[in-house]
Amino acid sequence: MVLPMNSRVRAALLPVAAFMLVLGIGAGGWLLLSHNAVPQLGGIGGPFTLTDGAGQTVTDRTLRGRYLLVYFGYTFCPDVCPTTLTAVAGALDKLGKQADRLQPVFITVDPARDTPKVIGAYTAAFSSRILGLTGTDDQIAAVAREYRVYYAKRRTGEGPGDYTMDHSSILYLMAPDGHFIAPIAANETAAQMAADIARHLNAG
Amino acid sequence: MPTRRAVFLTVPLLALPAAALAQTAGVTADHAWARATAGMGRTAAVYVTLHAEGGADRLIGATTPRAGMAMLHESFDDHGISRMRMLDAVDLPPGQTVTFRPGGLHIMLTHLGQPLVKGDSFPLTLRFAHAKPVTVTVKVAAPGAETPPGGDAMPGMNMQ
Repeated sequence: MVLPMNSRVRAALLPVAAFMLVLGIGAGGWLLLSHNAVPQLGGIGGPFTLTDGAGQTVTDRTLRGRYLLVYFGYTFCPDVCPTTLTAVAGALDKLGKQADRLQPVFITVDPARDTPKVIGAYTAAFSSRILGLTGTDDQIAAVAREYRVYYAKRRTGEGPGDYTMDHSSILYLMAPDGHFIAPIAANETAAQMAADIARHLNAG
Repeated sequence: MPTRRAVFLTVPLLALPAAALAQTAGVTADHAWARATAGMGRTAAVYVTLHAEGGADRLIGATTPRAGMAMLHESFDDHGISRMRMLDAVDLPPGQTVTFRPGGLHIMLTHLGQPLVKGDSFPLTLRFAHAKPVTVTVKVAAPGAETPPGGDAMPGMNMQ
């Protein structure tokens, strides 16, 4: 417990530094996003290969033909992710029949803890219509890169499982052909989210 | 003289806590609630409303038999990134109400022995810099609930 300050600081910073290096491209995307460049920014989204709660492989191609609402988070997230997923579930209810054209997707940025079984049970607690996806570290890094999503591990204690994840707080509305349509803020209420989505679904 | 010496030593020792107590009539804590854990979730967030009755105080920690660890946390959005920071303490300004709520201040529970199920309740003890510890009963709401169970209006929201 009473490590010298230097080694404590180093121990705390090393994993963060490693993550930042690996995720440099994601961080670049975040910089673009944070400067309101989203509508002008092409190339959000792209091919991915992931695994659903039943252990089945899901790719971007599997999901073509429906609008997607893509959100990145993790199941150990105690505060923000449940709020967002509840808003998504509420938006689905408010959209009524229109929601049949929409597939919400929750992709974990914490594949080490979020196994297929864990992610499937988690999304089911909010709505059976939300598709939870996980993958290998490389698969998650690849899909995060495609979506310009930033994520980083933050230690909260000494144990191997003692960490939280910082992650982008943006949902991506994608067209049935896989093209990016619009960002939706993760802190929107169900009503705001439903209105934003309906606007784009009606325009399409 | 032994007696006088003893008095000399005792006075400063008593004076410090007495001064602190004079500024703090205590902290009230109510509307403690948490969301049911989703799926196999082993973390949870507890929300509570605190009010420093007298002088300024600080929430410095929390414990509950339901979780191996309880941390003071704050969620915040930093240019499109959801982040959480651990806090050593939460300031409780005198006479003001500090409301922990989703998307902001919360007490993060980890190493939960059992999942939290809607309808459950459990004790949580809050420790303060000055006031005596306060034990509240945390009521468990549905996963993702935005308000405490039982339809209570959030204090300070002026619902009419």
